[in-house]
Amino acid sequence: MLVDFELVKSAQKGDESAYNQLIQAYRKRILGTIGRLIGKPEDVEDVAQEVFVRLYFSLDQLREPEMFEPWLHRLTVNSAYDYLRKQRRRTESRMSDLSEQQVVMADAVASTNQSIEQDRRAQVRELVNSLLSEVSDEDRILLTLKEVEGLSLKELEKVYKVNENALKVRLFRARQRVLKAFGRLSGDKAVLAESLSATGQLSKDSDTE
Amino acid sequence: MDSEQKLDKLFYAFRSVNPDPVPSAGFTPGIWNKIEARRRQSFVVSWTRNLVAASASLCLVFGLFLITPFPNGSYPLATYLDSLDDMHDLEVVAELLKMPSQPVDGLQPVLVEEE
Repeated sequence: MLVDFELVKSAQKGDESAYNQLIQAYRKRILGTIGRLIGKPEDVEDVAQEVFVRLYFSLDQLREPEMFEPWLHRLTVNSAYDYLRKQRRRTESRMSDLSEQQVVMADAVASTNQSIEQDRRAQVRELVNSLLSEVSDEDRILLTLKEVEGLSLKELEKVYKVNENALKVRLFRARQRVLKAFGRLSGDKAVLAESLSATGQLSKDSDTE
Repeated sequence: MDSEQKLDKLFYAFRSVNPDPVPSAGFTPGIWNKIEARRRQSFVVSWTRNLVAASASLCLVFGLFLITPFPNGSYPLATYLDSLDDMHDLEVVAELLKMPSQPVDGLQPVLVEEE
């Protein structure tokens, strides 16, 4: 917990300075989580602001200040989910207007403007986003919270308010789908995935779950 | 290295290339602007909702008033003169009209003889 319970209680009573302190304490973390959940850097601040606006109007419903962080995570999940749902609708309509060649050209133009390192980062993002697109928006968020954000099952249980076994089943299925998509990778994406594991660059610590 | 481990590494790499960003200067003021906008919006919505509810209640009350039958005697079914006409008790009528109940002597009704 980044703040003490008294600050949460003060914010619940309508103390705006206490609420400002809550924003200061959590904004960076929320921005990071939102960024990894939605994969669109240009919209991250907007969605994160929406999280804090929802928090402001729902804070009085929080009965136990100890549940503040799961509550905030829940609002983050809901805002990200709403954004992804809207985005999916927009993308479908936009992409239907473009020919496949136009889409490839747009990608090529965008990538030439980036440095090699930025290009590599963009490739990793694109690869993970394409793998996560194999599952529903809900599963994408759940999987990201577990695998990328590192939330434990206990924490996820508080966020989703469902039993741990149900979460395990859902996570397992989602991960299996992503694994299948990972196995089907071909071309540049497969090379990138191999290089990440072979060179040890950006390698994962051995003590993580 | 199996696919599970490769996927774990990929997720870790994804975490590394997406660090927590530094919020812009307008981030917190932007939150308060949105809160204010939503407050105003909710005020207008609640005011409109109250107005609609009040109008609906008034319509309901007037509707009930119009369709509810009144018990006998509490609603004037006839005019005042009709009521008087219906009264056969001349004394009561005379009292009401402040007129003598018996014909005054010497004043006989004029009878028009038919030819």
